[in-house]
Amino acid sequence: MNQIGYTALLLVVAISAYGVVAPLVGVRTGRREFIRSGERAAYALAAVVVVASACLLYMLVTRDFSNEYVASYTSLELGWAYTVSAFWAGNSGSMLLWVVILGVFQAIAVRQNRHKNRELIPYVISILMSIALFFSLLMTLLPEANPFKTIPAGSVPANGMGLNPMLENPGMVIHPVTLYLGYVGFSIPFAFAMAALITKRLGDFWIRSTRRWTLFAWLFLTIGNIVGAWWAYVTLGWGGYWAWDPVENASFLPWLTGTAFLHSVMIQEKKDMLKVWNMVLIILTFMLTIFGTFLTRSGIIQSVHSFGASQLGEFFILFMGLTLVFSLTLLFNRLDLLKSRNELDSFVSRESTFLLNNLILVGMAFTVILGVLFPIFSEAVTGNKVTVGPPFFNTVMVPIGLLLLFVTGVCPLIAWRRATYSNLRKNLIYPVATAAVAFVVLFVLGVRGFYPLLSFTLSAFVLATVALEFGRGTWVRHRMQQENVAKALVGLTWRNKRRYGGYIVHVGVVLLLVGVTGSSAFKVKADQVLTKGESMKVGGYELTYDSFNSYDTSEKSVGQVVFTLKKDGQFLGTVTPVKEYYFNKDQPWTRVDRNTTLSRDVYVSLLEYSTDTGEAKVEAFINPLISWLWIGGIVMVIGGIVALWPDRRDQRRLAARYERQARLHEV
Amino acid sequence: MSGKKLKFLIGGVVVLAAIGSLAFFAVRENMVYYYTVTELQGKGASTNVRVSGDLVNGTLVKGNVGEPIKFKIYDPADKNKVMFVTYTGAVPDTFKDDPNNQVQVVVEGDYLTDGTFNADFLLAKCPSKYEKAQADAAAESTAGQ
Repeated sequence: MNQIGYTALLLVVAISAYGVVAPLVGVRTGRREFIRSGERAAYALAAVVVVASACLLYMLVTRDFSNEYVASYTSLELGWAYTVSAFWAGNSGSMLLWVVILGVFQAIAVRQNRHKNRELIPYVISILMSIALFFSLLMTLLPEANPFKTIPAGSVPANGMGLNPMLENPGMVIHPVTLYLGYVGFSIPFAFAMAALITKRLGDFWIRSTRRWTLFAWLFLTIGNIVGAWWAYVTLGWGGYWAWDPVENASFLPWLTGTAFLHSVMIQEKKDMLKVWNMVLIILTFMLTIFGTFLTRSGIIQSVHSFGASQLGEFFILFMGLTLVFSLTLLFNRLDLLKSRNELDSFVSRESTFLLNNLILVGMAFTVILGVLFPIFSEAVTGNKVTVGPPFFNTVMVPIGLLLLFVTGVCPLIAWRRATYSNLRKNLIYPVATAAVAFVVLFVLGVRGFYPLLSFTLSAFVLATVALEFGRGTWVRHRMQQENVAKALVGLTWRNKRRYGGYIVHVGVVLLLVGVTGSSAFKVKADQVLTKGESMKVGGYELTYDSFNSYDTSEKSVGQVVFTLKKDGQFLGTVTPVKEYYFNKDQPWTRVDRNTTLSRDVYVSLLEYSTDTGEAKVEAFINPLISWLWIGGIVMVIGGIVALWPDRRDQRRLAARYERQARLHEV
Repeated sequence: MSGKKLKFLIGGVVVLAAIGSLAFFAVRENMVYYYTVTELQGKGASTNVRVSGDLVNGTLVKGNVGEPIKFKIYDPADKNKVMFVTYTGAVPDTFKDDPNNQVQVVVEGDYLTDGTFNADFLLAKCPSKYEKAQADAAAESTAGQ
């Protein structure tokens, strides 16, 4: 099975090498059969890499410990879901995951475009094949990246090493896959952008053709980041969900630039502006997806998450360097073809708010990159290694994040091209009034901190603007179509899924930020050593150490402390944090327990306990409003799905435009 | 360049400059120097710094429940440079003594005049047991040839 898998990988190398060259030959010589061959190669590549993945999956499920990867990440006792997720638990498996997703996406893109974008497709295939070639070469040439490496029998415990218990969590089953779907998803618009530059077909057709890919990639990056944060929160036990860890930042960076790209292409489509900027953004986003993949493998940044130092880092840097040189040279060369026919008219226009949105998001991205790479820069420049931690990120991200929140609210209210003062006043009055009311209510309730007040007030502002947009549209539709209000609302949203899906996403972002603000600004923490019967107070709540249990399973030894949670004497429930000790990992694992309501989490972690004295060191947090973070995430995903949903009218319009432009040779 | 374009360019530069200055200020306020054991011992007493080293096997002492843990770290580049560390925070599950392996540690806190390091933040990583066993097996097989 190892042999089959490895052979399949070799085939992947061969097919992708062919796929890089064949379409280019086809274009050069004008012999279309080479291009068709390239398209078939895309299908072949997908098939072969699926076979390779199936081999690894088979070996995982059958616990074939002759394969080093299987032995390192599974054990005989591991449940089937986690056994499957072990596919991406380590370095080489996750690289194979990248290639299988890329292979499948390429095949889909080729099939989608079998009747259109004929001039772009050869280059799209060539570029995507180059990416596949890079990853598959690494897997076949470097032993440490080979998922089909065999090991002599007896060099591992008979029942396998087992999965790192931290990864035995439903979130961890899907988090890497969703992130990779997001990362790889962005290669499609990138390939199309480069193809558009090469062929000089720089209308917005390449954007419209890849619009769904961009949204899809964005959606999965969003899911991946939020699931990652949720996993950190429920599993890692430190009471938080985001530590500005380099690896967290690595998946956040392409999300930031991808969001910017998602917005700015709307400007190019509507106003034919920001063409160069869009190119820069997609190049940057693609580079950041590779950078994100690289960061976990290079060992250049100290982090609990990283897979560890390896040679791989150097190859990734090489690949990123080549890609950067290639794309920027190409862009620079085609610069005058990217001039737009329109200009920005006024500071107070919708275009300007989009531009401001972009500047802020890119500014955030550069701040994060600065923070992540600071140790390397400082060491190179001054000889001293200097790090910056969460306080740095928070100091910068909070104010500009709030500015972005403001822009999010204002944008739909400002007209295109130039907003007049009376127009603005009419649109702003209700949202501003709502925000003012919210401010007063919060102030009266005792909220005094500057950032929390600002954050909640702006949140109310944005929610009001979205409500206004939905309200106005629904009212018009209700009057004109004589539909009842509920039907009008749904009809409105469904008629313009992109726009209203987008507004739903904004609502999700606001709810998420409410959760972030509550759980950051109003967090309460307490830790104490307790014995049976004792209580500790945290933020108005009381935790009483009720009892201690311990038991063994075949895999682990478990110790748990049962706490009773009370507030003002009223019994609210029990909280049972646990400490597990896995026999073959020789290491304890903390499993926290929470009492969750919409208004707060009571989060309890068992840090240490002693079976002799019965003492337990406990850390407890009150995280206000944190459930809204997860709710907001779900709403964002719903909005993304709405925006992504196929639209018959849109497809017909697109096809009609293609006909027109093909006739005018502009495609 | 038209007047309008210039206005937007300036506007853009102002926004980026504002973000940039904020970042610059934030770095200055929050930067934490990161030293090796040798470098820090050379520098002397410092507050709010980070030091990295490897755990000296056998020196990890966990007190009673709730007490700080104590251990020694050494500079992997110079085994003679050893530093004594006390840590008062929550101990990450991954941090444990492993006589067969190098346990990499990063701690953040204050380096005191008496030569001890008072840490309030600890980050530990350990290569998987499997990698070490594999390396041993490889070493044995080549030695046998």
